[in-house]
Amino acid sequence: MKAARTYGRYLLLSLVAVVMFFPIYWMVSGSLMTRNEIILIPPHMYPHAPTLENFFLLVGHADFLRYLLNSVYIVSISTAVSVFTSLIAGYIFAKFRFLGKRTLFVLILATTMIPFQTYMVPFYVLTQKMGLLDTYLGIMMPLFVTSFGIFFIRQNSYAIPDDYIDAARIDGAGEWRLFLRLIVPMLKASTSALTIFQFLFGWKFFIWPLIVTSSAKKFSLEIGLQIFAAQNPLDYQLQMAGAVFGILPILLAFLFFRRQFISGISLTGIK
Amino acid sequence: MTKSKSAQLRFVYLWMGIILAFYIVLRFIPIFNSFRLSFFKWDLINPVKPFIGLDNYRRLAGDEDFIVAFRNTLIFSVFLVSLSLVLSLAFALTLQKKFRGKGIFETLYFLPYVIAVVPAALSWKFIYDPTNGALNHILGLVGVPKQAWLINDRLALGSIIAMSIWQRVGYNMVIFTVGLGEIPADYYEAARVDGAGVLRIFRKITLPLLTPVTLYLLIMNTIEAFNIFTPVYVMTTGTQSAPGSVTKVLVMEIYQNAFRFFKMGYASAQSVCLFAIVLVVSLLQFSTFGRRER
Repeated sequence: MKAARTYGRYLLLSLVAVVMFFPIYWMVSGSLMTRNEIILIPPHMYPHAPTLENFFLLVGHADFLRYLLNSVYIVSISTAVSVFTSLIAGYIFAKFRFLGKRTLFVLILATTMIPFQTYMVPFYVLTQKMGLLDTYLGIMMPLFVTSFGIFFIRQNSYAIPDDYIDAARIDGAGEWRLFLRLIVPMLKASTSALTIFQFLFGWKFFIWPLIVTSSAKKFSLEIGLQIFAAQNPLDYQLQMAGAVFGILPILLAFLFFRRQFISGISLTGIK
Repeated sequence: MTKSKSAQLRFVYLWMGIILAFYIVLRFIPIFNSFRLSFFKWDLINPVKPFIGLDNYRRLAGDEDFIVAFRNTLIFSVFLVSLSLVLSLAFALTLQKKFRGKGIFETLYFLPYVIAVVPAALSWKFIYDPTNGALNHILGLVGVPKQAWLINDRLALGSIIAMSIWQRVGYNMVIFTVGLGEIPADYYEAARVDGAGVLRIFRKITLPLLTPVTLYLLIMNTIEAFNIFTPVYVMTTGTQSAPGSVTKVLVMEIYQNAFRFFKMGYASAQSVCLFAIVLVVSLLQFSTFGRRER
């Protein structure tokens, strides 16, 4: 009876796992097929003569390497800036008293409830006025601050004992040094969780780069891939190769740092 | 000591000043302007931008496209949020106990969440393809006739919802797992001693103690669902994909008005509506669940 239940559970779990993994498998399988193979009816469930020619084509003709570098550049810098602004603001909100603190915090927190999509139109107008349309800075700009990050770091900063901070001050450490040498290392776990969260968010951020980028030179991987797919609607083998290209960096990072990813994401859910 | 105090103040005001400046430019001004623009006939190309009061809002009430988009977004949100929460709670409960291979299942269920949306949507679009897609092939093996998943107007929205559930479930599962882990083991022990069955334990202990987590996920998922864009955009662009109006959602409507027709004032009025809806729904969820918690 017990054994039957165990088997039943494994069977169910495996069935769900197959469904969850299938779209990824299908993407990889399709990316290794030729055009002649991918249009077959009924479809081949795996590539009978796997080939990498689709990938060579993407890198050679469609500039996917450039899109990849653009994405890495845009997401790395904007993640670094947002993690830094969250750290410094979260720490100050937790450990200092200053004029207007409460008001400012409530205002910042209120913006968590307001998604970017609801103010992207005026944001575009503003970006245009600043002359930043179709620039890297313009693409990254909305990601420079994150209310969630500030709140998250503030919550975690409360755990740092005031005595530590005061002791460092008595030893003559300046505020800036204190922040970098004492506070940031003590917030290591929450910093890495926030970094993963922001990196994923930035990598998936689609609508703003779609609006603000106009020259192919500055396409992120997501935009480049979408436009490429729209231009080659019938070449599923190329679309799938592009899709594999698009998921590979995060997928590799995820598989190497699986534990950090999952515990990082679970940390961000605790409030 | 006074020297240190003034150094602290300088540090605080310098950095808070910078943060505030960021917020003013990147958040407060655009959010405020979203409201302001909605009272103007504000065309990107036309230099004359007259104030028209509530005209944009009046026009919204009779705008067929907007109403369809609103209805679709509502359907999308209800199904995505409810189904993904139920499924992810079921996953989290199943994966709660330690057993061999648990890590592999957890990883596989979480995987879709870390994948970028465009590649994922392209893969699903290929799976849904009416002539040589995998879904029709697999269903054909058990005798289900071929369907045009993304083209048939009765299936298109549901097909996009399915893909979104697939991407969302892993994240919810991880957060539920944290919530389940925080319920003290003694509670379960005591209930079992009292002879409570699995279902009763779930209803009387697990579910009530999970309420804060459920509420958090409910609100976060609802906000995200109302702002859905990328999967719809990818799956409705090009041939072999859904006809625009059948799957049109609010953000799609805003995007098209603002960046295809350059009617920024009108699009802003739609944005304000989206914002109001999200706010009302979140507050409703908060008051219903928050009260039950007390």
